[in-house]
Amino acid sequence: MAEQHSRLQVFTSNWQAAALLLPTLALIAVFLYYPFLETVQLSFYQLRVLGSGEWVGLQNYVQLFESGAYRNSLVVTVLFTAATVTASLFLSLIISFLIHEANRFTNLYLVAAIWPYAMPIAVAGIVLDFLINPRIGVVTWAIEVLTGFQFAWQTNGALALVAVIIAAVWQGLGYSIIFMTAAFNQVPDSITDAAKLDGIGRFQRLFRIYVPLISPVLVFLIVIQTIGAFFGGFALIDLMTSGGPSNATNVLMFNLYQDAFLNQRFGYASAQSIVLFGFVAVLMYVQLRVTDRYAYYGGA
Amino acid sequence: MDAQQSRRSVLKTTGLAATVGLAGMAGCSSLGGGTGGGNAAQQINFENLGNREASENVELEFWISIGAEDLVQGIVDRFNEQSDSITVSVSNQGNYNEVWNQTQQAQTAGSPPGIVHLNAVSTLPAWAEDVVIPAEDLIGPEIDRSNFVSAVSNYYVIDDTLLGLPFGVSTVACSYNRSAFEQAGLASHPDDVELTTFDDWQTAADAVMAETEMSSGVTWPQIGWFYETFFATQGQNVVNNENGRASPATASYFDSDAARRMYEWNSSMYESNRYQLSADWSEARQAFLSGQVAVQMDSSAALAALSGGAREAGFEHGVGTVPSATTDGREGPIIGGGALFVPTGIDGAKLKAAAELMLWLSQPEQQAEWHMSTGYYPLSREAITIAEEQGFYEESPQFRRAFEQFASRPETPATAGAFTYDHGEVRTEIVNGLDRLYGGNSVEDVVSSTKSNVDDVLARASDADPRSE
Repeated sequence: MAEQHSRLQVFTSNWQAAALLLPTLALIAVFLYYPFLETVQLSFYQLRVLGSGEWVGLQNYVQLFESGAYRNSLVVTVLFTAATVTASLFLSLIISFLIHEANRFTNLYLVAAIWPYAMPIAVAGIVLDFLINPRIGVVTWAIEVLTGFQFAWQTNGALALVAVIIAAVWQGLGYSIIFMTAAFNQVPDSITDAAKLDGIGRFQRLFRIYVPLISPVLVFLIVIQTIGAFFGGFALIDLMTSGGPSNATNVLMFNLYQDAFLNQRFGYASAQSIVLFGFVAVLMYVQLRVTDRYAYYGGA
Repeated sequence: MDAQQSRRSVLKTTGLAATVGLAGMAGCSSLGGGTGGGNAAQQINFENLGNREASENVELEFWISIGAEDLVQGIVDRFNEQSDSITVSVSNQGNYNEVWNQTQQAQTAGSPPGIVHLNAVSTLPAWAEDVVIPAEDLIGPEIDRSNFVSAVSNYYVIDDTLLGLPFGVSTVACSYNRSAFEQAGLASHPDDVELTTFDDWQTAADAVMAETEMSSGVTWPQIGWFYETFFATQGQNVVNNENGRASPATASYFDSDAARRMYEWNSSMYESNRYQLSADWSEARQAFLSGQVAVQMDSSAALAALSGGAREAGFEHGVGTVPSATTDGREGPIIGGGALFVPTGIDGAKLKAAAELMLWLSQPEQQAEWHMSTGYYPLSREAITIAEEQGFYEESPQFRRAFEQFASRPETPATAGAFTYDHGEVRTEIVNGLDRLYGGNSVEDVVSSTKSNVDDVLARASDADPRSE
């Protein structure tokens, strides 16, 4: 404890530390907490045009919870998040493990795997849109030729959701792969050698030995990916489906954007923003409590 | 244990900060003390706008929505040259929605631009919430509305007051592939081509699909405006109370016979592959120019690009007719595009300068230049005459054809177009209904669900509409 105290004793006075922290705190206060408090305030107003509002108390929230469209949006978001996070983590675990196990061209594989993530999301959305376009897409053409199945996601809501999930997973894979590859590299070679000597199979080694060892990274990725899926996906959905067909891909974030900036219902959209914040905050808390039990941080 | 604690707290802090930040991003304005309420009379006294005294240098910002800022700046530069004291700078501020949002934000911040270019559907909320000063209040005494093409200006006239100066006005226009029509044995000259009714379109599609390699016949993008146009060509109002013009609309006509005819036609054209579904503008253009379909509907402003694209692709482009169910009682297309508005919050010399620019832009010379450079319809017949004298229609007859279809239509509430407070949402519901149609729902189901959803939008919209009071 005393050692830790001395390590932290960098500044001679607290004022000095506070002065150095001030610019960061000021930026956070101005660009994060002030808009947040403004959003809370706006959510109690009926605003059709910015700057002119009428106090309506909790009416926006009541309207929100009574809205079938909002409930639909919530279901779509939960499905999108669950599918994206699960698929993304599972695939990136397999891919980064294979890269880790490869003896040659490791860097090449790594670059190839994180390439989609390095692409601006708008470019990724447009590229995906071309690849899986029902009429001119190479991927949809291949699917149809090989299986006879028409991947008509522009008219079929369930398929549209699958299309944006594929896009989100594909685009986001690189992020998880970077973290997982780094985590795999931290696993001591002696453990790998011991496992090999004991004759443990490759995938058993992955799931029984590596996964528990890199569990803190997995917890981090689950949290970040869940936040990302709740708040993200926006650009891909905007570019590929605009929330359609018939609201089948209208996730909460896109619904919020539509109500605020297309439908000019700022108060109602602010209430959605606060509720969305609540959902994610609760989800994070539960997730951290649950995953924490299974994450191994080393030590006693 | 310490390590565990610290990592957990970092994660929590990161997560919470991220969520707070992102949630906060949605709300980004402060509540001001705007009054709302629409009809608040603007007290603007101009002794003589045409001869404003050049006593003060004024710099005016002009926010445009449809790109083309260099073109508009070029026109405005002539205004700058002839003015002793006013300098107008044009900037592209994104799409219509972005300009609409940014205008409000600039007003909240106390620094609105001099002139903004807003979409037609923003007219009612802009006027109702006092975001803009009605154009008539600004330049009314100086303009003679009888010189305007009524089809162009009527959308913006409420209570006999012109709210905005139409700028960048277009309609739905039909293009067809003359070469494919010839190959299919169809009449291909624009004077003879038969594309007036829903049945004509079906017949044309059948012929090109049978006689050419095209897999579909026709296409247009899935945008609500096209379907409102099909209401208007049939002479059917979209909403009640004279299409929302006499008083706020309270019910829609998506269960009318005209709507049913439209959905039945659309459904059978889609099911039989005669209609190729295009999610957006670019898909429809691509399908037409790459020879996948022979007939396409688009904005009239795209006619020049389509004509040029057709030449490059090696076929001849013609302008047909936006269809109606039958020729009996056929009316015509509604307008799209936008208008220029002067935001509230500017005053004094700046306001006078904005009014002067509006007045100058409304004159036939500027209107003709704008029309000839872009294909957007001009405000006055005199501008058409100027374009004619300069031989514009000999080079680009497609503009004349599309414009005449529009200008010669009867002036009814149906062709003036629906006027509702939340019209963007009405259009979203139209598209949602069509999604259900293509997803396999019956026409009857689409009719009833779209009517019910649009009526819900109208109920909210009429609450916000100050004309309800």
